[in-house]
Amino acid sequence: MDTVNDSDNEHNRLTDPELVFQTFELPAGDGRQITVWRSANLDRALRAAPILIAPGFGRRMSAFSPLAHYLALNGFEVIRYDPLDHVGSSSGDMVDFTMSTSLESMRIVADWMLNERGFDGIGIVATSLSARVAYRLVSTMKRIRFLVTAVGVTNLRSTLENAFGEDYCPWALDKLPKYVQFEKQHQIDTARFHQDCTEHDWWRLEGTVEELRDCPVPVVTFIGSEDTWVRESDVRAAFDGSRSGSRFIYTLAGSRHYLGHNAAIARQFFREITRASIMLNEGLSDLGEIEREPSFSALTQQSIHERRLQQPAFLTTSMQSSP
Amino acid sequence: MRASLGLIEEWHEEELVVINLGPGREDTGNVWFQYVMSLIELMYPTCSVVRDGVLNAAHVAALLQSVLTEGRKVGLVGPPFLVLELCQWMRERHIRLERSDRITVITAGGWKRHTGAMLPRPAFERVVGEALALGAREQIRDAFNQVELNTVFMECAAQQKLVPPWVFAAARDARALAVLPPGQPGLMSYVDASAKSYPSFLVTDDVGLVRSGPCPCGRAGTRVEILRRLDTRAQKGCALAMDGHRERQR
Repeated sequence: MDTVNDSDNEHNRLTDPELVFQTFELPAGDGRQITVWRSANLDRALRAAPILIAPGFGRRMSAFSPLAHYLALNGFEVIRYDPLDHVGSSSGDMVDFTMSTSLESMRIVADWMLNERGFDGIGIVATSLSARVAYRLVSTMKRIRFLVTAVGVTNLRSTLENAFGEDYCPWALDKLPKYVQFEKQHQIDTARFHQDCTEHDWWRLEGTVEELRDCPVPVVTFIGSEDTWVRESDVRAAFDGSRSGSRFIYTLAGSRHYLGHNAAIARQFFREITRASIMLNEGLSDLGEIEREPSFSALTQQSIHERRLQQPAFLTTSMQSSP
Repeated sequence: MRASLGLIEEWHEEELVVINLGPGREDTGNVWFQYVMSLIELMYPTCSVVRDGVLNAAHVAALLQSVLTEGRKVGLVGPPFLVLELCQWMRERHIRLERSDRITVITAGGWKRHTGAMLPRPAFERVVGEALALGAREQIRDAFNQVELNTVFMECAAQQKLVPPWVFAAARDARALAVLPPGQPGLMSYVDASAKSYPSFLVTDDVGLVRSGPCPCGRAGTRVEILRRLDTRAQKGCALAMDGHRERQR
């Protein structure tokens, strides 16, 4: 059972008038909650499969505002969420992040879309680390119609070694540093993360290969040509080993792992993900055509509005107390 | 914008809070610099603190301390006359900030109608540095921008305004409009290849100069220094527009 946020009308007021924007709180057990946002253009016929956007590691769902806008203007109902034990509006702190909790968050939201909102099937868009989680979800959950990933991790051990400059996988738990820091801002409990990866087979490329091998869900992935965290050979290994389901690999020319580094590449990312989603939703053989592209002004307005919804609590309190 | 801010520091989006000494995006009409501020808000949490034309210095001082206490860094952005107004208010009340090594003051827009209060850069830096307890001169940076340009020139650690590679900048002779050698003052002119709304070839009414060769910060490339404005036309600009906005709101 979900809860629609009471301030729903207020949220609608500042957003693009063409889009409906709603927030929901989903129970996640132990009194915890997952915050979910919905965007849709109800002035047109919606495409068959709504899309679930999973944010990359350390990114809030507000960072995916432009992508949600692109997809919504092109006919998709779009659902976003912040995972548990992650940055963003849902319960928990980043320090406790594990891959399995991330999978559980994605599963709860997907399950809500399918069973509470009553969709026959859904598409998933995932970037970076959440792509690795999505590969597992699509291999185990029914009624996922397609998956689109970008700079998606297939070999967690290799990616983390590139990100942190150290391969912690073979380390004994009691020898690990208590925390590792991601992007100089997020501390992660190393032992907790490591133990989960070992117990639930998240480290290995072979794990991804095995999960995708017999997965019938069609998957499109975009590789960043300048991505130093995800090796193209690992992505190809994961995709080439598939015996079931269509697999498509495209390259985002000039893209690093962090897609927001360059505005032109970010725009290309929004366009290509939208085209790939249209392709898989419509059953086309190649990337589909974008019907509408949001204006820069509309993207800015929506993004700022959403960022303000996720401002740190101490800032919100301070601004409300301002005369 | 990201590249320009990167001349100051590569802040993580969860690391910095921007305090905008100006109105919010929804209250600014067509003031260009507030459009720039909205681009900054796309990257960092931003509080716009001018409400109904009033800068509530007490609120800003409390907000500053609150953000610093939370362990965040602060980008304090505004036209110099508002930065000065805040600093003078704090100095008069002997308000001292803690952890102020985390503040970067970014001025933009010039003094405009407030030329009577205008301070030379060294004096401005002294007043602001004392009021905010800044430990280093490089915690104060100036930015140059105008509505005809699509690009903001931000100062590096050596307080030089670096011109990114997609902009051509030249000082020109006021009569013949011939390009002057580096270091020689003239009318500033630009070609901004990033502008898509119109072909951005312009000669401005700013007097300035262009420098070439290595910058003391270690980067290579062109830098500009704006010396003054010509007095031949009605004064325009964002600081003036923001000030006019405040006056109309009062």
